[in-house]
Amino acid sequence: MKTGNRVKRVKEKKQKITLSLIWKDLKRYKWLYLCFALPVVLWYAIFHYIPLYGIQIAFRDYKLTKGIWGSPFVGFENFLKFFQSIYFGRLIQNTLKISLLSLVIGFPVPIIFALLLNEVRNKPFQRTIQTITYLPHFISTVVICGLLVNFSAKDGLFNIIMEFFGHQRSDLLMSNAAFLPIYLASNVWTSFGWDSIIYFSALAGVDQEQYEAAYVDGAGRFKRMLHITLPGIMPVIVIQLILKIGGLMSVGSEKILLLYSPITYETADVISTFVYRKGMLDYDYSYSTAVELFNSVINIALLVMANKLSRKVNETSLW
Amino acid sequence: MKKRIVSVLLCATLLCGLSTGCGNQDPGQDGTDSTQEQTKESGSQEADSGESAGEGEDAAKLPPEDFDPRTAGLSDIFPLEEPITLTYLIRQNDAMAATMETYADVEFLKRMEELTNVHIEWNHNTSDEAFALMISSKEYPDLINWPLMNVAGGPGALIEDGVIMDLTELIPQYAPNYYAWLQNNPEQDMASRLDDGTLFSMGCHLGNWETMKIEKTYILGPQIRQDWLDNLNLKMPTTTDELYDVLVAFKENDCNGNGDPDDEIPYVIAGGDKRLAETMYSLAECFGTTNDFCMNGDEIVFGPITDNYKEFLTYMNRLYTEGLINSDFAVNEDSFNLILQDQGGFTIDAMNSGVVAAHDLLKSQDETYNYVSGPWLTGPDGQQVGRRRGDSGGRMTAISTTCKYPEIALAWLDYAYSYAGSQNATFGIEGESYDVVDGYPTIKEEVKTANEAWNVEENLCRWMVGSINYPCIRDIRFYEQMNLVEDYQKDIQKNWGPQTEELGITMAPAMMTAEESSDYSDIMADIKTYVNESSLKFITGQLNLEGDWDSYVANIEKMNIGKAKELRDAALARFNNRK
Repeated sequence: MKTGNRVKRVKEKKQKITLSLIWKDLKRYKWLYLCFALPVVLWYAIFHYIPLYGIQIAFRDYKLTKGIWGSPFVGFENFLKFFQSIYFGRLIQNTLKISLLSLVIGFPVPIIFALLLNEVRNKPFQRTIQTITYLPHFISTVVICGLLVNFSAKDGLFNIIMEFFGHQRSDLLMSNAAFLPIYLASNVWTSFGWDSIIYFSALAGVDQEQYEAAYVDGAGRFKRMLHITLPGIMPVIVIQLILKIGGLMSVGSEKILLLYSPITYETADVISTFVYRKGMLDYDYSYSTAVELFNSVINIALLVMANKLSRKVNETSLW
Repeated sequence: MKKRIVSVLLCATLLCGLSTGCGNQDPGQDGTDSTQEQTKESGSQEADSGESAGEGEDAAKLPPEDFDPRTAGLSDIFPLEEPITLTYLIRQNDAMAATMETYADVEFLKRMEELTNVHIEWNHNTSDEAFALMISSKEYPDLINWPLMNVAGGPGALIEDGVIMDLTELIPQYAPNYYAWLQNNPEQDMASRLDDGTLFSMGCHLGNWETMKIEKTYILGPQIRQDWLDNLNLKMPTTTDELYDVLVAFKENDCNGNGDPDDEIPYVIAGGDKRLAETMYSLAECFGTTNDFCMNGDEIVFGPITDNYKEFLTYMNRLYTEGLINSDFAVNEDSFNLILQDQGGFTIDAMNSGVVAAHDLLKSQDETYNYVSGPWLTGPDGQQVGRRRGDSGGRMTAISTTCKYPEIALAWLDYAYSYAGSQNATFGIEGESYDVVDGYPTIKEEVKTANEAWNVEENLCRWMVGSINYPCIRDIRFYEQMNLVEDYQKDIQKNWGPQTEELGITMAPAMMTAEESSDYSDIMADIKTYVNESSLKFITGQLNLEGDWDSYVANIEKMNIGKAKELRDAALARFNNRK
């Protein structure tokens, strides 16, 4: 007599989602939809989808006084202007370099931090460290850049430390070589605590039984981390990665604007800062819209590719 | 039941939180209704003025031959029989914003309303976004005060697109005081018109009522620690070579007496890379060039590829390598503090926030500290800073096409250009904020000193409008009393004015057409980036002035600087061919 192992197969009637089904659902939970779903949907529709019609100024020569519909249609002229700029190559290179490096350096840190801190036994200590590390996220970019400018001065903190290790003092923010490390390191410092929160919550969802099973099998701390924890939070990691890839081209320009100067244009000038300067010469709304559109299209393409790739490699994907 | 109440209350709190963001902004919406009934009134007004200047219907009616703004007062059409309301968009300066909600509280303007029966609805929402919104909504306020030269396409585009009115015919007729001032100052007249002679606005000018000439104040210039010069037995530097020697002396000696001869920064370039145009490139004028297009006699040249510019960069590079300037000048925006901390010796900066503020602060630290202005320097080949060619920037007031009473608006604004009006606008109300002592308008003591409620500027702003770009003639005697009291202050204007009467290198206020300026800005976006970047690299030594100069010039020429120069030449040719 076969018992136990036989799993009862319940034949699930796969219901097709029909309109009447949706209607019934709406009627049953109408207050839920009205109070929560409707405002959000309306908000997205009004503030995010309807204004999309304004994107067309990227294809027009937008004049303030003529309005959107009155401005002449110029096709891809704005895009060509951008592509033909002498600095186009450098801008793309810098944008990609800064964002890829941010990803490569900034992405693993919260994960490793979460994994390591998770191993700490002392719960209050763990929580204190967590709080301390995610406080920098709340400091405004301007304040952080002010601190960085001060620390990078000839008599600033960074130079003192460098001198201690035998290097010569120099104005760090005026050198192309030092700009990238300062920018990346400060980014990591600001965001790793906050980003690790989501990994902490994912860690809490890993099945405890598997740990015990592995312990029984003789796996040490490190092996347990590698084979149980990491695969356990892998879906979250992949989703975060896809989202971050989607933001690759729009690298944070406020920070760069505050830290760069004409001497460091070579490594620091990115698409958004260039467009900002162009906007100061005359209020060229069409041009900046065209460049932003270009940015977004590339971002979407990257997002779709990353999603497809991740679906192939493991089963997790955004959609 | 209880659960229900709690949940309903929570939802209500959330909703309230949503709606607190909605403030109420109602700039002059009700004003337009009352103007509807006045059409009959304005019709009879126009008939009157039409009859009195009956002859010469074709040409712009000019004011009579013996018209003199010194004796003219308020136009005869005031006070109006029926009050009208005009909407006025104008920026509030900080001192006024601190003490009053709108300009309606300024005594001068209150008096204007009593005298003219014209009520003004003030709109102080002057951010760039608000301006763009206003233009695109096609609902313009009657009067607009704005830096019109900075709008894309310039005032020409605004007139073409039907935003502001063409005032060429109306100004001589309804604003005779302003017209008289334009006639008396041909350079300003040229700068205020478009290439085809169109007048479109009225601006704020500093005027001398004795000569009827528009004066300029100089607000940027060299500043130096006079006491350090005295201690080292040095004269005030008047040439760039002398400046170099002075800077070296500052560096080598312990000027601030704290025992450390190395902590002095001889030349402080303050304000970071965003203000280099004022603090560093202004020194280039002493070499006869600048980091943009400039005039060489009658020809336009692009400064950064000239030999003068190379000399300037060589000089700055020398200063940088010898440690005579603050080495983080391109990134540190707070370097002016070095002056205030008794470490800086020389800088080029503004007047009120620079030399005046620092002078007082340093004096309060120690009586011997003497921070004063210095003269512009003669260049190594004898180049001198010359006169500027006309001044067309700043905020000016234009009349929009939706204004129903342009003639009344012009006449109302024009009062501030007559002697009586100018006195009121500059000094306030006679007997209350100023007295005429021996024919000299003297501001009362209690108005020009700070008290517990207001500081000096706020106190002044309660009475007069001159300190913002309000369209009027500001009497120069205001500055004589307020800013030019002490000796060092009197020297500022003398020092910072041009060294010679000849025209200098600054460009004439020639305007480009909308199409030209969009082509121009496309070319110049890249070139400006390259020039700024390379200049700093030359100065800090990352690029070699001997070896890399030629490739730098070649690169700029490859970036189509020739086309940009052509556009500028065309605009200048049109400007010179006027009238």
